[in-house]
Amino acid sequence: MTDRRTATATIMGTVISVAAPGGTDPGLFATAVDAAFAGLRQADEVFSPFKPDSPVSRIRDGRLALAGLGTHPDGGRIREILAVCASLKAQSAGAFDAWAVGDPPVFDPCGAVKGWAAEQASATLSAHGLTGHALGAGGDVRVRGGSEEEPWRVGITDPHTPGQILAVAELPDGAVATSGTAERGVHIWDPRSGSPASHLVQVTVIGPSLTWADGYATAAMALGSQAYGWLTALAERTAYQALTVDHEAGIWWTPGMAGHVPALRGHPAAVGGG
Amino acid sequence: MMKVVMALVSTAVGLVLLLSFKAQSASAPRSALAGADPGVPSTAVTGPSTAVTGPSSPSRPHAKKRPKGSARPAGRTGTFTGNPISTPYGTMQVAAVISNGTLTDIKLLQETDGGHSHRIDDAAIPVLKSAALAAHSAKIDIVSGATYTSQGYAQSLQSALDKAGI
Repeated sequence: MTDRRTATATIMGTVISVAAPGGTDPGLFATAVDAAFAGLRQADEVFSPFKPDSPVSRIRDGRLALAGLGTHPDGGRIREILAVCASLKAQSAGAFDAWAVGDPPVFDPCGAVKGWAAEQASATLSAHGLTGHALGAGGDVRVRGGSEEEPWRVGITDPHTPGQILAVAELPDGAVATSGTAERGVHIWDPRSGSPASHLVQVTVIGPSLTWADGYATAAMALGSQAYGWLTALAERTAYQALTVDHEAGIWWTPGMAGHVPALRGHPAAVGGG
Repeated sequence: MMKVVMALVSTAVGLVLLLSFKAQSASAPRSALAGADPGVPSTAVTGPSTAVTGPSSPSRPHAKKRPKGSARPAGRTGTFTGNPISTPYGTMQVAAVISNGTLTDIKLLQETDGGHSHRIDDAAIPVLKSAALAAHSAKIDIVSGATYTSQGYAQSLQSALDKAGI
């Protein structure tokens, strides 16, 4: 896809970008992008833990009771995020816990909000007729409307060679989420074991929805050394495939990942890691 | 310090994202960058544009052919100086070295100075530079990875690329 329209904005403290084929009607593109960016700004107002009077800040401080969400103007989307957080906590056996972030532990759904909000933004683009697009939200990516012959090409960063691309995923439609420390040798402390949990430095998850791809990638980082078994089971029961990089630059991936990343084909599905 | 370094490493990826779009943009005005103040939402919409590709791409097995009728614009050659950009840590200014329409090098003309921030830049600048160069040659649509933005570096480079018309 060489000809294209692009738009960028800084929302939620990060760069949001939209690209669409160059033949797209300019009025349609502008209208769709405006609607998607407006939705992201609204989500930021509701979910930012840095804005003292955002609903999330008020939930954290006990000023907004969950029982009161039924009549709250943002109640619907807040409950959606709470449901995503609850599901991720259950699926990760507590490794991802939006109700225990930081020290002292407080409610902070940030780990789930960006992927969810970007997924909503991509849906908004489609609803406004922009059915073919690539949306980037701070490194999480949602693409739609490509084809097998001309898929979107999504670069996955190499955490050991900053600025370089580790692999390129090709997909007509789907989500690519990457979570990581972006810093060699950093260990994630696992409060459950009281020891450094992870030699993972980056997890990329590819699947249909950015909400879940982002959540699963974040949860896998938190799971540390248990991530391999967890991601394998996830790939067997869902459409979400994973590619991980460890602190020695070992690469590991679930078998289905080769369907998205041509460079992996013909290699055994575990190099290092696991 | 660790958090700072991590943020700056992430910055490079944000730059890749920005430049990967800029790389597709032949004649767009200063469009690929968001506002200088991260707290101020900004929107830039550009029209259709034609990709500028490098003169050689023999080692790209997945490179797609350009669509018919998509003429490659004549590449420019030269060194294009970006605008000096003020940051909370000082002024950042780069120059883009363009060869036949392809970004081949980035020269640092001014970097932020003084104490702690200077040490941060020492580590960050090679990272930002390699990010920009990689994005320009990788033939990718978009990047997945942890991101942030380094407004000063990215904006100065953006203005240099705009002057170069790529």
